[in-house]
Amino acid sequence: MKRILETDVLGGIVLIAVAVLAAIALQDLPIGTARRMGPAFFPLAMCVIVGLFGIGQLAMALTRRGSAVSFSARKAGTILAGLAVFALLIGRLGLVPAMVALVLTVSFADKTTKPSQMLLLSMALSAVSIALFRYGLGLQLSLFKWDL
Amino acid sequence: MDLLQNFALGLSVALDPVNLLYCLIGVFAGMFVGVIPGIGPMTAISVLFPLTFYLPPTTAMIMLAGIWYGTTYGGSVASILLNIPGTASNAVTCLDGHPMAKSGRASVALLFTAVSSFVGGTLGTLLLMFFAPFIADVALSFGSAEYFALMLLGIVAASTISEGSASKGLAAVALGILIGCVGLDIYTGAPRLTFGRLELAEGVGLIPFAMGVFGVAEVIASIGNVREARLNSSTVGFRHMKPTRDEMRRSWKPMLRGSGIGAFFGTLPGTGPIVAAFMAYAIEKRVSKTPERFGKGAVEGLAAPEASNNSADMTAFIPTLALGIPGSPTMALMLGALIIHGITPGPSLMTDEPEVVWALVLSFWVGNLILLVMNIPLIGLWVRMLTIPYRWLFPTILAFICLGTYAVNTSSFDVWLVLVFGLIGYGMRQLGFPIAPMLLGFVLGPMMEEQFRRAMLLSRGDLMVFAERPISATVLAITAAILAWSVWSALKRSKPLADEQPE
Repeated sequence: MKRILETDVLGGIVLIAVAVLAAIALQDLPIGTARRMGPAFFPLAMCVIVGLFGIGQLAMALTRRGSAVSFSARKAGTILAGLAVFALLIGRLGLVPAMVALVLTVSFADKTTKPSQMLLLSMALSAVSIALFRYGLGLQLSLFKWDL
Repeated sequence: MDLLQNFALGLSVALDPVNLLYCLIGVFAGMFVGVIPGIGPMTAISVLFPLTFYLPPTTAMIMLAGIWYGTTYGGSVASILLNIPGTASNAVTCLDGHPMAKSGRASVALLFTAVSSFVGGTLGTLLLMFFAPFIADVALSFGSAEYFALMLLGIVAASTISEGSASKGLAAVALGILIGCVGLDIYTGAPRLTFGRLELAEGVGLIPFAMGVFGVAEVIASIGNVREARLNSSTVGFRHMKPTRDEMRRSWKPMLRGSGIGAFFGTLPGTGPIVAAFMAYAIEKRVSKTPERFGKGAVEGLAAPEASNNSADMTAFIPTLALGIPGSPTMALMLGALIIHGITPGPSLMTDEPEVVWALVLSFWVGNLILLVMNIPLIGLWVRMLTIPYRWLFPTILAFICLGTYAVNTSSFDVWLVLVFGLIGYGMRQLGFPIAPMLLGFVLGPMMEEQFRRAMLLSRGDLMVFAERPISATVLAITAAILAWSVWSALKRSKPLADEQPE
């Protein structure tokens, strides 16, 4: 039988990794004593707990058969790329270009979308956002600008 | 009488025309987002948060109440019409609500949902008004040890009793607390886990966190997985809303029973609306003379759990308002929102500024009322919403997540945070970790750390302080019992699974 990566195995590994990485990031801070705790005491305690749960997950995963990991890298990657494009453009080119770029980028996550429809949607969303955030809530948002 | 005075005071704030208008907008926006399949109430609430940001605190709070009810009801609409439960408590709504819709009585089912919610909410509100001041009085004598113990009980109960595996729930809570540790240390000012970023000095914001782990993660998971609605919209509409006399006669008792059951479970830490709804359904089926009708569109099976989960929602406010300790993840989200608006619930708020507390309580009741009224003319609109293909909806949701987050601090760093937490949230979802306990840990973590460190400072580093004070000792004993029970039941469950399904 083909070996599959089980959710509980990966979950355990991720928990242990997070605990170790966070503990490394905390290593320069004083732990202090129980009486006068330093800044690292509480977060380190959490690292220990997270790590123990990770070991527990791994141990349980070995005793029984779990389900395979399903992770759609394409969908997640497309959506997150859309957010990144928005974050990069909003402060540099303004609201409208950022909105159009966001909608067009994320639309690749769903195979049923059509670019022309999405362009239309992004225009409509820009208009609604301007009405809502700029005139409704009175925010200073540049619609277009050139500030690279 | 004090209670009546408070009631009048709160009602006058809640019924202020400007506040009412914002409550109305909140309910409308909440329903609008909540009805979208695949978008749970937590996502809907977080997406709509930024809209309240620029309002004065009282108005913002009332609008939040509207958003809360709107999203919850929107979730029920999707469950009844499409059989897609947005949350676990909506799963009970599906049991009899969807069969009703299939037999052409969708409008009646929606009306009963709104009416039952209102009945449950009213009873819950009354209990809240009666008991919260009493508990707040007791809580004034609480020290750090009691607070720490109560918060520990809250997170342990919420993560072990709710959905999924207890160990994954607890791991999610611990991760949430760890994320809550990011920022400057409260006592020494040392930067922790900020990775040198100045923007993280004040910690991770609730908005980017919630938008990421709920909003973005839910969108990623639901693309391509949302069924398109095929509805017979001719049976859904204003004209079809009139229930039969038989349905009315059969539903009032279940509503009252459900409200009572919900009120009880709402106050217990960790149980909340989900357990309340399931219990109400089970009990209604038990007392019914015709239990075989349940699951085939029995109006009792819809009315009781809907009344129950709403009543539980209101009584869950008792610990949130009186102690400042949220009993459920949704409450944690609301608490976080209130704190952002400068309203910190707890015993001192209750005694010092009763008008704020009562305005909040009454605006929740008014929000519920507005929902009932708005439900009737707008039902056709929600039904049409459900037929919009998801390919139009998900870019829209993402656009509002991005712009909403950006608008709060005009900071693109916050949008990057949403991206990071979106990835974390989606990853955790796919690995079977529940997300809601992580939010609870994130909100409660900093408070727990503060109380724990203060307690240790006062006791000179002696852990026995938690066992010596009677209230904290009792609460910790209950916490230990819940932990022991969940370990025991996990062991019991995993054994037969390993034997019966070797594959």
